[in-house]
Amino acid sequence: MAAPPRLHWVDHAKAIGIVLVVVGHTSALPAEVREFIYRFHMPLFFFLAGVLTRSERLAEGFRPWLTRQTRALIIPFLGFFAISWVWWLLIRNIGDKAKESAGLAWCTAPRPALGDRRDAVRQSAVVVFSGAVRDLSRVLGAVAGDQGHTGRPAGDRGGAAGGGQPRVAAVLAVATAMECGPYSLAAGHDDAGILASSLAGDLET
Amino acid sequence: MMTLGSWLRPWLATWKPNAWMVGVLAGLGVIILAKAWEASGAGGGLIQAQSLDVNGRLFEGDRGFAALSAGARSLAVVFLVLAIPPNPITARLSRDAIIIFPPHGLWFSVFSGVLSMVFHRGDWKETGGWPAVAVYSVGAILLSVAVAPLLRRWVPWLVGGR
Repeated sequence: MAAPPRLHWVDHAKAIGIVLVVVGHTSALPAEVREFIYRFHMPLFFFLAGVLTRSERLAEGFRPWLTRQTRALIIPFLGFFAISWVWWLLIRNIGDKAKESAGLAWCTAPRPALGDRRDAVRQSAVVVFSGAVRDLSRVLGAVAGDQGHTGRPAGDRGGAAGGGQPRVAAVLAVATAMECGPYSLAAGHDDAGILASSLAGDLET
Repeated sequence: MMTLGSWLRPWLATWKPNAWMVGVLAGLGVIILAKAWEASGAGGGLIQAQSLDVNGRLFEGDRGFAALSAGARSLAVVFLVLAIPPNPITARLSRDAIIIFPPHGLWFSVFSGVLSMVFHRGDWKETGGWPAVAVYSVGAILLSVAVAPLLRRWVPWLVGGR
């Protein structure tokens, strides 16, 4: 089966997005520029994830999906968190860092890596909940007579058309609710954006 | 935004940027329009100004128009990039985006450590100004891109591989 044609403009947009993520996190950045960046750099990733939505991925079962998400997101997240934590333990009492870390126990999670602990719980809940909703959407799709992905060509990566429409619509509705809800808001939360944008599609083109 | 992207995907897949200037201008126009709406809200217009918590940072504005503005700016980026021919730099950044994302903060603290030892005698504070932004950003991206092949080769599980 031939590989789908690569969408080069998505590469460009992702490159711009990830550069903005890095630039936006430099503390020396002027406040106005930071606000400009923060107001759209994560929504841009959401948008691209929508563009890359693959209905055949949405048709997979809960366990394969959970395995894939865990391998692609949760393990890297915990891995880099552990590295950041060790690094924080090494430098927390040196120079200016000592002032920021004064009174914090060794077991205090470094905020740059984990953020608020409630966020970590929410992120995990979002991943599991979205999988459950995906399964529910499959049931609803079956009730509605949707037979899922019906042999559309591999190059067709559109998600909002074809046999998987009820499933796609359900997953996108959840993703939209997450974006617009108090969790990540319209302008996006970095970690939430990365996790949620993987719900219906891949960050990899 | 995800739904919007999914809806627009068929159109974006077939749209040819032969009129890319029109697209850029349209995108800029939408940005300006959205910005004007934001301003009218913040200035006491029809829309009530609110405090928006965006990733722990508070901005003034209206949630609805913040969403509109985010959509407009994202679309503007898409309009802009549709006119750009394929190139290896953005392809590489795109491929390594998921690797650049987690450790860039880690690199910042490495850079700030080295720079502070040289210029500030142990004070690990980031130096201000655009040169510092450029050094930190470019350095973090280059380091991430440089280690990406090593991570994929030796610890693929750490970067989402098998």
